[in-house]
Amino acid sequence: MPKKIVSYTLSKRNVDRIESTSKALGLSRSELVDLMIERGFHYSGDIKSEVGKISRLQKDTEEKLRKRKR
Amino acid sequence: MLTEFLRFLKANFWERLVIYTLVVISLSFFGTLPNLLLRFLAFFVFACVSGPFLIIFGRSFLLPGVKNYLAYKRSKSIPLPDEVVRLKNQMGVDFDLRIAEGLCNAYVIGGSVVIGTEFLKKLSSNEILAGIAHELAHKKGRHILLRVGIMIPFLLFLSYNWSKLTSPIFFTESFTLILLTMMMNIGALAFILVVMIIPNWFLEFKADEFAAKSAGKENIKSVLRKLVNKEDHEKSSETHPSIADRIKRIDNLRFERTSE
Repeated sequence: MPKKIVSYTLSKRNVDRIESTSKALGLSRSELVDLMIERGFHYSGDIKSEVGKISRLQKDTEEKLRKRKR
Repeated sequence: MLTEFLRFLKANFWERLVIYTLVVISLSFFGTLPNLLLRFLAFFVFACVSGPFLIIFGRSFLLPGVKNYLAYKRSKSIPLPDEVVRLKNQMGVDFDLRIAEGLCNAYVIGGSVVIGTEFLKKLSSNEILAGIAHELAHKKGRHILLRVGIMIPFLLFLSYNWSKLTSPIFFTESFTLILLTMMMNIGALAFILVVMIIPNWFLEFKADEFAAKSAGKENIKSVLRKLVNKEDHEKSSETHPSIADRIKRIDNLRFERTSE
């Protein structure tokens, strides 16, 4: 049963759904911070590195989801 | 005929004001006139203007309000940039900055200032700061609370006066009661829209003044010019004075800017 749930969760249809949902949810926080920087605002180094970390984690998770599917 | 009707629904500020006034006056006449025929005439006028009034109200206030609330729910809170932190410390207001995608305005809701991504893309950083300062002025001045405080005496005045209204019975007593309740709610809405125009405009001018002091006159003027199409600069609304008036008023302000 748990296996079924996992395979269902990671089915192509669901990965696509997750992707479309995240697109629908729009820009991530790090992208919004990037937009603010682009518009000429400044952030302290700490915030920038934290946002960078979050962006990397988001990309890694996305990548992991794709790999699991394959 | 349909195009005429649609044009009528795009009524300008003064035409809308006439509709609101007609709603209130026809309802008052309906409840007070001694002659039954005149009462029905007043009822007919009320029925004719309340439809367009409800459409105008829905389109100009209800829908934008719902849209802004949904955008707020979908918006994401972001860390405050250094420039905004300086503004926050200078104004002494605590707030959460949220960004909503696709939106081209800024507003304050609860403890948050919500700005749209289109707003960010259209304006320079100094102009964005001026926009945020304007919204923070609303928050600092507790303008929502003030508006409610001003509304209460007007509503009390209205309920006292309208408690004396009488009505002929339409079909049954309960139907008449439902009809009268609906009519009075519509009338109260129209009344509040009219009496709140001056307080709303005053509070907008105050927020502009505050923004001009903290972010510079030119920046707040530029925000106003960029966010509203040039052909609409002379148009006032129930909640905001016209852009031309606001710019004129900002120009007439005499003060020392509080930050650079």
